[in-house]
Amino acid sequence: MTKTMTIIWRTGSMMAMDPNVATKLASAAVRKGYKVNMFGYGEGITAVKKGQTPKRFPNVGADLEALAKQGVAIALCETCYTARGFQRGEEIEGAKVGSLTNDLFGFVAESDRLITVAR
Amino acid sequence: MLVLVTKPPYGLEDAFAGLRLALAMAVNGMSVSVVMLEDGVYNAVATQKPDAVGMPSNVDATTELYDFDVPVYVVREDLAKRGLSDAAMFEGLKPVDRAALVEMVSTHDVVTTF
Amino acid sequence: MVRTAFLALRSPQEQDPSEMIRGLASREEAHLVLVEDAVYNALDPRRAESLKEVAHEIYVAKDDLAAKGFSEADLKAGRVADYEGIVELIMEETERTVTL
Repeated sequence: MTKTMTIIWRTGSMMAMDPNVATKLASAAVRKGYKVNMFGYGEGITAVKKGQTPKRFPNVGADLEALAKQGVAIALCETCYTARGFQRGEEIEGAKVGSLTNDLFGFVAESDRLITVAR
Repeated sequence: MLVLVTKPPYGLEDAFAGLRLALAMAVNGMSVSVVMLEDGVYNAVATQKPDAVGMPSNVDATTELYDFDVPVYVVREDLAKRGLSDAAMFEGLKPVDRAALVEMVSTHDVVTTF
Repeated sequence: MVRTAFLALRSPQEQDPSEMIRGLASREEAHLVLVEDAVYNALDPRRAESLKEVAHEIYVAKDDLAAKGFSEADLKAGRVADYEGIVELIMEETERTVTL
């Protein structure tokens, strides 16, 4: 049976490379045939904002969107999202504005491994 | 799930976020334990007054876990290293020696750190 | 025995990964993955020694090491790994992942 990995990331989109580490792990896992779930928590939710246009820096929003297209389930904490002034519809294609109770719980329950990317 | 709380209260979001995550998993019936270690042991101090900085209480976020049978452990050595003793802790917390953590990690399927 | 992959992201001055690893797993159970600024841990001879005492295997992220101007020849502990190798360690060679 295909093994499943869930990645929780909690660092914002630009202040550190953490979200990029999360997407690189996810992408390597997809290439190796694993099922991957990702959950954005705390400041991590900033990485799912639609329309990021970093000049010369990696575009983590675009990377997440590409992962979603490859079947990676991406959800984030709505409380963290609205606390930072984001509204539903501002997220990238394929990301679900959800909750710890429904989405992260489901992810963890079906996972063989949980990886936390934060500092 | 084992939730490791390594950060102190109020200066950073991490400890509160970890306690809320533990609650969300426990509410759904997942077996969860919390360990306060390193600077995370500062969350165990009974005399915290988060109102002074307008923050929600990490004491309340911890004691709410008791209703869902989530044990919250505090590492004795890390308390001592910071000049604190078991007596400084609020009610319901379980002091443990660092040596107990190896067993704790091995008996939980997944671990997350805050 | 429960094999654990420890993930470190912070610089040696911000965090000494050896303290937490020692508390959470025996040397035989502990694998360490150094990414981002944590790769500097593998370049410092003294830190490298203390990490080898607590973890029997150390992976250093290849991209991060290269980005900072170093290569496998500079390592005082461990060996370089790409993200596929790190995922293999996490999914197949260990049973738990603990971020430090």
